[in-house]
Amino acid sequence: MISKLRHSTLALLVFVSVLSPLGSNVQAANPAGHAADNGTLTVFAASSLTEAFTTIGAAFDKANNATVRFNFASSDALVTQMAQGAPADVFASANQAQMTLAQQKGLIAGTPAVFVRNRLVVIVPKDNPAHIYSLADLGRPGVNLVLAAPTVPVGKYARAAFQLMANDDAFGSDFLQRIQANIKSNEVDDKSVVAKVVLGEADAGVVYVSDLTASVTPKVQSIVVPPPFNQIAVYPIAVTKASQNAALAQKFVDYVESPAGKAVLAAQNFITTAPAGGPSSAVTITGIVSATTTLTVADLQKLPAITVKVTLRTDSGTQGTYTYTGALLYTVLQQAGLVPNSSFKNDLLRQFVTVGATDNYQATLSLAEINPDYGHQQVILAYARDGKPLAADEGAIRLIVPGDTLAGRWVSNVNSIVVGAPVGTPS
Amino acid sequence: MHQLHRNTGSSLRAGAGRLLVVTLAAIQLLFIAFPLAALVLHTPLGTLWTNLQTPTATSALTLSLETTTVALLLTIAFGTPTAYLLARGTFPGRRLLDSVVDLPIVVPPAVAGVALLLAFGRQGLLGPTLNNLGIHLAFSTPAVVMAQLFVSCPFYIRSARAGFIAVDRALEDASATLGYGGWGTFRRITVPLALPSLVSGAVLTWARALGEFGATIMFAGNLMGVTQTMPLAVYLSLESGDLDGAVALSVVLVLVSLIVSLAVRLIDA
Repeated sequence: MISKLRHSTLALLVFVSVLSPLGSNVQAANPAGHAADNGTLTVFAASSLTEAFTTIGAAFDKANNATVRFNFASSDALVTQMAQGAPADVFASANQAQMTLAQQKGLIAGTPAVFVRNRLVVIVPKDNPAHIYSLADLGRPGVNLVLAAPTVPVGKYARAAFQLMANDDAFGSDFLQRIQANIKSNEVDDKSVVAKVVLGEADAGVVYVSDLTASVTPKVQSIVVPPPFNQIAVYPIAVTKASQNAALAQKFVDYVESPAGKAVLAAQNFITTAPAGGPSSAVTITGIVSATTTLTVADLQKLPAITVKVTLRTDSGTQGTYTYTGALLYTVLQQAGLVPNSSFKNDLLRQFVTVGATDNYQATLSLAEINPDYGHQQVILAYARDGKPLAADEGAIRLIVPGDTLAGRWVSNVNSIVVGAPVGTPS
Repeated sequence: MHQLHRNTGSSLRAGAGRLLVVTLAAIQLLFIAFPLAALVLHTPLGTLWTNLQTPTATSALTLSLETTTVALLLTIAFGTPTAYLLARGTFPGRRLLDSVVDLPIVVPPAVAGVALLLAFGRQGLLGPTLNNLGIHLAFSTPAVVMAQLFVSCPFYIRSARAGFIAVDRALEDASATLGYGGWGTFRRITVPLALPSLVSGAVLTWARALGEFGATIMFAGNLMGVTQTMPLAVYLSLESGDLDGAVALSVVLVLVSLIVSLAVRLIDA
């Protein structure tokens, strides 16, 4: 009898465990018990927003006498949960695709707004057991590489970045196959990838720069993914159709987009969009420079303003004559620090500058043509046109090359500049 | 029911009491059966079969079958002596050991995952030793088996121990007087008599291993064909919006659980 009873209990335990789901990671920024007269909000947010939104939520609670609860998971999981009827007031996604999917499923009220951007970084354990010092090292046989699943935004971005590297001859034609062979796990989100690297189970992982939080940074080393390969994750936010407290929900969205909210996001390494509103709000200078430097529109405005009057011509004809205001590209490069290699005579005349856009469009100039001692072209990184912010399709920063007849090199939505030099040593 | 009837004086009150009991029980049973029915009824049988033919589903099914079989065999090999020792051994700390063996049942699977990482992970206590021996458990199929073994072995050990305790010592003594040694007695008397308990314990262990999720995803990661067992495939499919794929594998798991539950009841009866 006792034995039979015990078996029944066991059977029940097995039954329960077999069917147990993984709980969602629901956190209340404001612990229960606090008087929240203006009600409670449930925010579904991409897991990469965990730290930033927890901080923002606490400040919002205090300012509005409300309680914000968060459900952090991968964006695709959040859409699935909402589609199955999970109550959310606000949805913040780590990519446009999941937001569009949510809109198609009729879950979103109004127009989602992009409030922040993010980019990829490779992390390795502090002691770097696999000796990974470059992106190419990730393709070395035997490396335990961990990514998020291909359906999770950060996993999708990572694979897109590897695809771009594979297109580059420097990585070898079989780079993608070698990476594929090294992928040892498809984790459920960026935080799980971080955990595997911090624990030293994985030799390397691809996550967002925003995952390099105060607690993670001391436990890992990071390897920069340069702009030609890096992917810019776009984070749209919106109030849901099912929200029972749409006014408060909108208030939360506004708070996230406010300078206070942006400051928290920027502190977490997110790329915060400039108020002027183009998707490219900052430009990062890498390559042969003293230090990787990121300049926002505000930073560019602090440099001497140069004005050029140009006629914008494309393949389809003249678009108009405009006065662009911006900072000299050469001055911007000097901010990052040009580095001549003394083993080459006049090395700066060998170097080139590749300006990249958020859509990976690139155009190259020689350093000599913008050098005041040589070509002295008034090439500028423009942030204003006819005294107003740039047009929406130009983004916040646009390269203007006045000497060019066609505007092909007038890169819109500039977000990256790489200073490079030809490979090879003269005899 | 008889008890209830006898104790309540009036038959009217007995009727009301009975109604209450039946109602509460009905609600409870519905609460269990309804979600499972919703799961099973979600997809037509034909579509379900198609959804089980996807590479994700077939590789998860195969991997689950392989890993749980190995986990079960290892449990029987190591768990049977353990159960026998716990049933027959008289040594200090036996009760404590009993409790330790039961721990994985009570401990949340996520905790089991962390514990396994700290013990056998690359930075774990045994990590450097294993590495020197050329054993790389990280993100490997053996890691899946270890997670399953850890969480499921107590079910077999508990059941086997109860079975061994229930065997009449007089029969074993008689066997010994007839000239059988310890092993002979164990094989010809103890095991056959305890067999129902051993089998039902094995079935439960296998089912628990099949359902193992938390420790696996933490300790072994998730890669199709290597560490992605059925519960992981269910979770990942649902995450990526493939509800149909998740349902197909879930239905298989529910049906298996139901069969296991019935089998254990039949064996014990």
